[in-house]
Amino acid sequence: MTHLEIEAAIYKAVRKVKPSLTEEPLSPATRFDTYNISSLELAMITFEIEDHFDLDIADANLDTFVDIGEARDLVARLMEQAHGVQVVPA
Amino acid sequence: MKGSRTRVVITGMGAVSPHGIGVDLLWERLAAGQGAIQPTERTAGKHRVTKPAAVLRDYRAELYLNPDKLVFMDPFAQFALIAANEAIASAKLSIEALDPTRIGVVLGTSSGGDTAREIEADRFFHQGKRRCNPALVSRTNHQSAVGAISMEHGITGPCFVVNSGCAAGTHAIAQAVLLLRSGLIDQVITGGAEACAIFSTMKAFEAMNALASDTCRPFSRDRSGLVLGEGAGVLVMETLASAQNRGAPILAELAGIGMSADAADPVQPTAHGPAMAMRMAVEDGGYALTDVDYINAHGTGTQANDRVETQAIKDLFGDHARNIAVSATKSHLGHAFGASGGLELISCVKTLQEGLIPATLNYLGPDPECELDLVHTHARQTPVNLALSNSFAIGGLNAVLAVSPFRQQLG
Repeated sequence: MTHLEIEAAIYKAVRKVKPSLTEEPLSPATRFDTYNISSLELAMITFEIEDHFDLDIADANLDTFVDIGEARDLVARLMEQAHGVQVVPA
Repeated sequence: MKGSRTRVVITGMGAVSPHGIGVDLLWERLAAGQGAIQPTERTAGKHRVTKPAAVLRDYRAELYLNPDKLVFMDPFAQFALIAANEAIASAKLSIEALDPTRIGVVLGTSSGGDTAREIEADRFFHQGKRRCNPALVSRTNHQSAVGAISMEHGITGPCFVVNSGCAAGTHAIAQAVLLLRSGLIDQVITGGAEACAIFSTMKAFEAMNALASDTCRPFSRDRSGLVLGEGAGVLVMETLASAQNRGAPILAELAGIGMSADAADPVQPTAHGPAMAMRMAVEDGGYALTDVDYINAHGTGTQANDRVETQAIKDLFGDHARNIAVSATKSHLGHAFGASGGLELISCVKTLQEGLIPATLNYLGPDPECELDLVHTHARQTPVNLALSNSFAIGGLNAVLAVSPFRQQLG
């Protein structure tokens, strides 16, 4: 698994919860506070990511993270811990 | 009410029905006798059920609502907001020009966010998921439909939901009328919304032997039960003074309300409760029983309801019963529980305006226990001066509205 794959899943989750961002360019540097994403929306994005990767990240909620890159790194760590999946940068 | 009491008028209407979005489309199909009932499949995990139902087939919420808000809204709340938006626009209600603390929202619903709850149950019990969707509470609370309308339009007066099953919409409208008469508010958004044609509800009514095997045939011989529907019927009502002050279009007068309980049986209806509610609605409006010339019946198509509703009409109106035209909108739209009261009142208002009673569809022939002047098969062109809209909930909870054309001077 690569960072790009995780980022793509996070973008998909963000856009599912906030369809108005479908046309917005997202990147690892995109901050979660850029688009007025509420705490409940962030919880829903977390939920979508958990669902996608079959992870339980509730204890490390995404709202402690500033941007998508940090969220990606958390998912990468959890994928290795929970599923033994090696995540490579690209 | 003939006298000094505050008069309540209807100034706007909005509908989401199995035919689609809008009152014009709904009325066009009702008047033309084009029903919306079709075989409908619902699934949950490995289970499936197919029954006749009247549901929206090509519904795309994002065409009508802010897509970012949809994740928090069960379909029933979406239907409510879409219908409310139409009603408010048609009433030319400029809320920013009014006192928002003197505007209310009162809606009826039975199932609330059961669609969202069923989806989540499927995730837990069939798919083995572990975490709950954080939007579930937002989607499933019954008051979410009312909250959505309040937030969308900045309405800050009394806003609440009424939950009395099949009569919820009509009960809600009755509460809205009482709020207006009390002087607490000047305008109100009211009616009902429902998205109940889901797997678990279909199975529940199937288990009661209450679902029709083929279609909904109110008051007909060989009727086999009700069919589920969905949608929202929302109206703007206000005091006559409010409507006149702002030059609003007055569609009809909400003349009277009646509410009663059978206090008899958890499931089987009785005639005395519905009769009492109809009498109360007529007398509340200051009319005589002989003034009633049309009843939009509860008319579910079950053996028990239609037989007992017929008995109630005969018991109450006596010889005048034969002069009252009766029809059942559920033969077109199915039974949308809380939404039915709103949609059927809208149909009544259009009937008053157009002088046309839509036909009761799917009629096979007379049932000796349902001898009424049933408008069936073909719509009837006739002026209507006082219509009743009946809603009776399981458990014997009854609500009736009396509606008349607006006349400046009461006779």
